[in-house]
Amino acid sequence: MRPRGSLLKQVIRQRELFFMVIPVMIYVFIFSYLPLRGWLMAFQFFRPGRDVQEWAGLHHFRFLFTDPVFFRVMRNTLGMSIINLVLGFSCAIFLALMINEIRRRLFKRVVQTISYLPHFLSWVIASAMVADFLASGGILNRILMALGFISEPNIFMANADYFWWIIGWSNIWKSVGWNTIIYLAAISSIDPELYESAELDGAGRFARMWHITLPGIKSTILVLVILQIGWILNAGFEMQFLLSNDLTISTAETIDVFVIRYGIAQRNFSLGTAMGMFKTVVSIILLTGANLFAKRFAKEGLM
Amino acid sequence: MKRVRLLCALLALVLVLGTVLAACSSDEPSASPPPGGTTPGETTPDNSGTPGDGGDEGRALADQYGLPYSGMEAADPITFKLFDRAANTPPDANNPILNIIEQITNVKIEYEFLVGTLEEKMGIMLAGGDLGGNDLAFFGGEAGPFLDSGIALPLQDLIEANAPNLRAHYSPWWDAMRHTDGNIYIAEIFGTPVGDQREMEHWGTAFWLQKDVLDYFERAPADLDEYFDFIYEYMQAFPEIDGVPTSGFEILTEGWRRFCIDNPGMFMAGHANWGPATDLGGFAGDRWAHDWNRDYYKKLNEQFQRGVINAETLTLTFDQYLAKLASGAVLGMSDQLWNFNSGLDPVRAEGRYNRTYLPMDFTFAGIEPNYMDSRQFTGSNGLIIYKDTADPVRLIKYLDYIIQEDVQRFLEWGIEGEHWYYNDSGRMERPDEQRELQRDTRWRTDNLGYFLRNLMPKMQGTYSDGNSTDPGNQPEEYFAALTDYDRDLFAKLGILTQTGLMKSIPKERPVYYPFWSMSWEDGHPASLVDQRLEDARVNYLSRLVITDDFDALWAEYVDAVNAIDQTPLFDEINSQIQQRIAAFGG
Repeated sequence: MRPRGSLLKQVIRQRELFFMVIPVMIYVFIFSYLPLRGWLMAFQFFRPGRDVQEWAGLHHFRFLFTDPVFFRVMRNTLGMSIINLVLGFSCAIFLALMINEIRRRLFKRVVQTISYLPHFLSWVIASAMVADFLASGGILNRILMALGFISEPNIFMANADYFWWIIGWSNIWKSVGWNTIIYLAAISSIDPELYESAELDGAGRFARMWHITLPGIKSTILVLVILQIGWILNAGFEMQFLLSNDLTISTAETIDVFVIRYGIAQRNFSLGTAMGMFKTVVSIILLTGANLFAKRFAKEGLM
Repeated sequence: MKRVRLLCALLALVLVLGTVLAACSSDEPSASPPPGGTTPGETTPDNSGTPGDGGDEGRALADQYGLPYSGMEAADPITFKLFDRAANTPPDANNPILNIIEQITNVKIEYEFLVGTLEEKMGIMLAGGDLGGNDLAFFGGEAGPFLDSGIALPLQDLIEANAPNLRAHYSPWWDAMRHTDGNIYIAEIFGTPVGDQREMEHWGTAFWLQKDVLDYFERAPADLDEYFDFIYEYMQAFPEIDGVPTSGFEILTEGWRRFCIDNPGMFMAGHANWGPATDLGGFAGDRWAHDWNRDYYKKLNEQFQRGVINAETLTLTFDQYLAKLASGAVLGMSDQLWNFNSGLDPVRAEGRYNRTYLPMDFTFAGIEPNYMDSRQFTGSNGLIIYKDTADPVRLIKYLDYIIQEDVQRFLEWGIEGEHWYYNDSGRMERPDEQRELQRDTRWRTDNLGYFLRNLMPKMQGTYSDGNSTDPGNQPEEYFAALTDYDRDLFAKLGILTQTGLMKSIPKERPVYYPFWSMSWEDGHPASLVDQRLEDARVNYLSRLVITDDFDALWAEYVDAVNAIDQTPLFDEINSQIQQRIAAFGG
């Protein structure tokens, strides 16, 4: 242990840095720590406008974990999350590798811009577009019919089995371009001499991708995967809320939609808070778990 | 160099703190500066009416249009924000009628309309302990939580002291308006009829059939089976309407508008629009697992198998549904006119009157149709006022001004001599070009004041001179304003008005009607029951329409409903029935 004085000295020595970090700390305190007071609501029968709230103990948690709807909702959330995770990462990495191989600058730029344009649409607009793509007179049905795959339009939105995949591919369409940016940045920092020497050794294009590019961005990928695993209970809300209907609700309802319907819509804020706590705890566990795993087996990690 | 770095850090600190503080300090009063066009004048609030203290302009306007003085002509201009529970479009800012009222009262109303679902919006308001920055809010039966949480302002003393006209308007229902705690919170809008209650058009629940189908068969279908037969045969004859594939029967299922799929079975069985339970003569009972529902969904299922119903209709949002109606290619649906009327604006604007609809009230064999309520006090369809609104007295005075007969007439009918005139027998009439213009709902919204009238305590029925409160229910006006197409079609069908094909007679309901206007406190077990029942319907009803094995799925649905213990809901409704009976004296 160092003597106290040296810590203080260190602080004084780095005072500019501390000045710079103070605003952020204040910000985090106000917006991330102060609201934690609200977690008390999860243990109350909270009603706005009352001075003294009635305590509920673990009532709301018991309700959540014994509700049959809860398990359906968990299944849907995990299902869509995993699809998003696997599809999202593989497509983004694949697209980044492809874009990286393009030699013509102009063409590269155009491809990149087009692919990340949908990122800037809000989900409200994006889901209306998805609904239009998939309508009986929509572009997908027209293409499939023109190619002779189907003779009658398929009503995709009326089939609960398709819903997870509709969400998965819509997510890809909306975010794949944007997600490639960080990989492209990582790729650009790989030493070009590595490629040159590999070429001299007779490595082809795919061998170079496999042995140089991919290992070069491995740590970036790992960090992103770890972060994403922490978000696994957030399979999205707007998309499911906006695109689902009576026929698809059995596969469309996620945790967040459930909270809206049983928490906010019934003004049962306590239940919503309990669910929020549950999600946070699961996130922390998964995040630390994934981090440990990465450290142990890949010798890399976040913390 | 060092100093520069320090300076940068300090600057960043100031910037961040500034943003945080700015975000925290938003408790300015909602009263905003005056709109253009009014003379603020020398301000002496609550002490006007005598000439010379300003406000001459407002009084001159009132004189010019035969309106009463508001007593607020010289008061400071003030803005009140009103939340409307529906997603509407406000009138044009240059609306002449509304601007005149604004100049006479110096009160400007700003609207906030619903975006998203009402439950969410209410949840956000309640969590914030206010009306989301609004001074007043219009709810249709959902206001309960605001009363119990102390967000709504008690109105009885304010009205007694400042609003003689409003007090007189409410006098038949004054005691029935009281909440369980004895206060009056809701300024009722729709349930306070005056005078003759004749209605020329049906705006409620019905099976709607496109006029061109009726024209094609030259008669009305006798029952639901024939209704679907008509649609089927018409679809065979016209697979496309103006290039759009013909759609037989549409079923809207989105959000709270899912009454289009929930309710028809109940009406077919001769019940009124009760709400979450059915009335067993003074106490509540289950309404969802009945045979009448089975029989109705069974019919829908048959029509699906036959191709009259396309599964896509069950996936549509409200906007997509309206867009489909606007194409003119939809032949029928079960809905309420106020819900889909705006979808027909484009159809009417193009003069395609044969693509609008007439209502029918089918029932199962041997059951008397019961689709129409006589207008009746519900006590829950009205305005609540935020407890900390800047100037409640002013607001009540404004409501009191609006409820006066001359102002009501001015808002709904417009300016005498321009939009309407008295004929020789003292009846109100509109000139022909006005009838033509006013067919366009949008034109009416932008040029007349009915939009405001619909969001304020209002007179419904007839004025003291016997004229109808609105042109649509003035018989001469109604007939004179019929399009030539309607006149011919009505003659062909042997009917006089839009309601001609309906057999229901408007019925007086029990004082505890309807259950949907009852509300309970947050977290009440009845809400949970209600939500569970809705889940069961969401999960099964649409699938019942398209299933290949109807009987098995129906049995599953009945099990799902029966698995829900509805007692908390029934108990709560029963106790409120007793309260209402006590309040109205039976």
